[in-house]
Amino acid sequence: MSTLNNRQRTSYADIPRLAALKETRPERRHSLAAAIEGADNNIRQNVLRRRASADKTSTASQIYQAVARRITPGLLPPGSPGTYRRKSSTAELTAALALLGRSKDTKMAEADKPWPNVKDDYEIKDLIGVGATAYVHKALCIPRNEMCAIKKINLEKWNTSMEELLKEIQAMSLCHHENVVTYYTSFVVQDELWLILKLLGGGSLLDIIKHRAKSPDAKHGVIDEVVIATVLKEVLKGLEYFHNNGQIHRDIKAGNILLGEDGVVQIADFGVSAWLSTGGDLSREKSRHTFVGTPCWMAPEVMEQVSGYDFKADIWSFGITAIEMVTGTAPYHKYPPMKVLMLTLQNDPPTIDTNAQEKDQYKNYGRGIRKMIADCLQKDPTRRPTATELLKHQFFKKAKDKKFLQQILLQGGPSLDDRVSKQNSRGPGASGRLHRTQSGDWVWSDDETEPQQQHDDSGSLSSWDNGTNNASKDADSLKTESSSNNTSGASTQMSGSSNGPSSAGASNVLASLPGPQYVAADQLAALHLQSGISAQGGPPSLGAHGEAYMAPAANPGGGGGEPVELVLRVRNQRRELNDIRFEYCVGRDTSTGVASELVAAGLVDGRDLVCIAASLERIMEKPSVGTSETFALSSGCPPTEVPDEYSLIGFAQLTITD
Amino acid sequence: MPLFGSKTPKNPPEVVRALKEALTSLERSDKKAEKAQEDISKCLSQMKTMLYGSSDSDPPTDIVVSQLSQECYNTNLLLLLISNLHRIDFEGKKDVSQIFNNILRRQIGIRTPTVEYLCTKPEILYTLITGYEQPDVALHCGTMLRECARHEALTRIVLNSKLFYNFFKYVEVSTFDIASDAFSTFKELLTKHKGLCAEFLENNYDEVFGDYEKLLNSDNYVTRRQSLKLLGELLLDRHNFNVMKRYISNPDNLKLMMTMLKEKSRNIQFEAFHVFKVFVANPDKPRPILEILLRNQDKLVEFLTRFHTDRTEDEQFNDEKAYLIKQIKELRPLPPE
Repeated sequence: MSTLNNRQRTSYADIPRLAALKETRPERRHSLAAAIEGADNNIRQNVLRRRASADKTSTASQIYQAVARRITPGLLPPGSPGTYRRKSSTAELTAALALLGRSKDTKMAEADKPWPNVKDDYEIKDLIGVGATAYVHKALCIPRNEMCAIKKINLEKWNTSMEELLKEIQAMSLCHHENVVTYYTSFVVQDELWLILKLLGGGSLLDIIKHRAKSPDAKHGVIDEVVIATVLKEVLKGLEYFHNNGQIHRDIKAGNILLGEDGVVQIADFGVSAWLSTGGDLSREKSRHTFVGTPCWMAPEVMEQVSGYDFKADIWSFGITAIEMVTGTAPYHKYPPMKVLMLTLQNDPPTIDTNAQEKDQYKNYGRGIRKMIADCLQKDPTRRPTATELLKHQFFKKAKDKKFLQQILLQGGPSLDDRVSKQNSRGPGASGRLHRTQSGDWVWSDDETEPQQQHDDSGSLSSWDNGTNNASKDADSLKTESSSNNTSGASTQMSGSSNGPSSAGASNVLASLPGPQYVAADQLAALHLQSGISAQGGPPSLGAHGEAYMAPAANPGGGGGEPVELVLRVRNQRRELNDIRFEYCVGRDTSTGVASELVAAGLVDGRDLVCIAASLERIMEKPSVGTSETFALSSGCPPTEVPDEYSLIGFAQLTITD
Repeated sequence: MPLFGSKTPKNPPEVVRALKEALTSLERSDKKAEKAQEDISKCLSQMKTMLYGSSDSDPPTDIVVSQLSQECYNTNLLLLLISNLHRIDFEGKKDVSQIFNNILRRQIGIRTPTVEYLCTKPEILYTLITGYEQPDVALHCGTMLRECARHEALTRIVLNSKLFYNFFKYVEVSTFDIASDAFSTFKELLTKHKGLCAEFLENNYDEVFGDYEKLLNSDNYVTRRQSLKLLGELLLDRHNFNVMKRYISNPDNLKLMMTMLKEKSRNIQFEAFHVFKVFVANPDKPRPILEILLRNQDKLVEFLTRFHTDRTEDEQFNDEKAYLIKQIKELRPLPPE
């Protein structure tokens, strides 16, 4: 009976990442009708009726939904949990090197103090990564005089249950291994959770790959065998530890492998890791049945969802990561997710030549690495080697030490004359805006001049008439409060924008570093998905992505005129108005390129790609300050709302502000 | 240890004996601590292999498992392991909790011998609870406690202990992973065994809800949000009908929920709604509750009309909201007392 009255709370959990994938564990809520006897029978009947209609969907559509939710930023509000992506390894590396000397001197004396759980003990420095609900900052831990990384997760925007979050953090805190990201502590600051992690200054393996891929000789292989062997051997050690701990990572890929300035290699992002039992451990599941990971790196048995999967799924992803290091991308990266699933399931396992454009393109890579990859990419998971077995593979005999990686990092790293950006700090819960910098990065900045969002004291008892003999009714107070509750976010942002590009706003633009802009691979894939729906997928959509990918790499300042400042005012998934500021550099940017970036950054719905691009195109024909255009959104508005041009329901507004 | 030298113990009694000796020497922290640590790791991994099997050995046999469990009971090894947990190295701690949980799950027919054993040794449970006070063992103790909470008999021991009230402290510690681990244990204890929980909440209503109110008023956002959500689940569980009736008769509780309805956090507002609704839907509302609702009648109707209007897909929520608005609108002034 009690299960009958339980009901999955679908609400508007826009299920990012974790939730999407752990669809097996719906949050349940007892219905009102169940508890109150004598309550209106309608509710009870409604609940029962609705349960009956909630039938099961087919596996195919389940897969489809899981994929769509997993990686379509357009369907997510700009603020859902996701993988954080560092902006650029350039600033990171330089700053890290500068700090290296300083922290070493004092480290010994203070290192035994525990990591504090107090916000003020950390001095927040550069923003080094932005995810959907998380921001990652470099920070100084004052009592220990030691640098660290702080991942700030906004819990208000985290729609997944707290239990899922706890699992991720426990998985981290139960790991002590050189090749697994080091977790120090975590604590709550207002409505944010701060995770204190070891700072790895070298960026992710993906950053290195992207950086190297630009060099002319990258065509015949991005990273050479010895470096691959050295890095991947470290990754395997981390995986071995992980698996022996009973954990599966489920999202092994270059983007989740971080490098320290000392050449250390660590597996990061436990967002999707799960516990699994082996042998006689009765307290855990034998295999997982959830659909998790990034399609390009995903093992066939994970996609099939028939038999469940185990540690060997990570070995498949590991094999794909090896291909990624050779060719610069995962084998099927240019296809929409559904196509990736089909190709992975139907074709023979990919090799490093799967993506080759010409014969013998990768002839420099020998049999050792090819054999190792083939071993990992066997469709039958039981035939794949374990991490421990793989470590004994001939190929890893080539591996060198940390020092070697350190040198390679320094040599291969971006040039040092890039200026280090102005520091930017973000107060807990502070409001702010995302900017697009000259280099094409989306960065968060907050107006320091902006008053800290007022604490809503008016929500206290006084505004309700609770007193025993107080009979005065102040209907207005409630009215204003309830409306300010709903729109506080928007009004802060609106007031910020009405100042125009204030000096504070401009100086907040975080980094003006030349550097590549990395659109997360999964976000790119999402774009493919969007176009896949409308245009059969495949080549027609590639143009836009190519642009999103390449355009910002161009030299800032060179090639284009003065950048034009624009504001796109649009409602987010929570229906709050947001101002998205960005620059458009004539000659450097294209309207489709910019629109794709907006989508890829999760700021606007993927369905609005075309209409935003079209509006940009129109407005940039004759750019002059104050020009404004309101246009209809392809994504429309929820069925309960009526489209309204004036209040921007189902519409968005693009304005030139400078 | 000199007893065994380089020889590795092979059968369960030997492993248990070796482990006990190593633990005792670690406890005394004599010179050989390092050696003891090493021996402990060795013994623990052997015990794990006996229980779980390993890739290069045969799957565990029932005889070995039952021998090992029996040895653990006879020598009081589990208590020794848990009370020295903080002295065991990082990986060893994980092994201990895995071994403990595995032995606890052991079944012979419908009997669970380890549960029977733990019932005679409640100090093991008490040590696990106070484990939350030591950051380096808190999560391991939590894992073991939650495994215990799966069994009604063990949950009863925990609930009947004064130590249960320590959880109100543990769920608020500053380290997030420890606090939220304690919260999930706390929740497990209060929700897993419906009959037992209802009985406990009824018999200890004042004490539990007195402390609970402090959680709802906590400065910590996570504590507030989690405890409010759990409150909603507890009150709406039909087993807890009497507890709910009592809770929704108290005007102070209604005031608190009305305050929380207007918190800045939308998540907290939403959870508060699910408690608030019970006050309104109560078919026989006591006079003080009616008075508050009547005094705020217009405001509440207006507030609820505007409340979370973007939750269009949550039909249950919208039905309930509409129902509440109707109920509040239809409230008639009370006759004078």
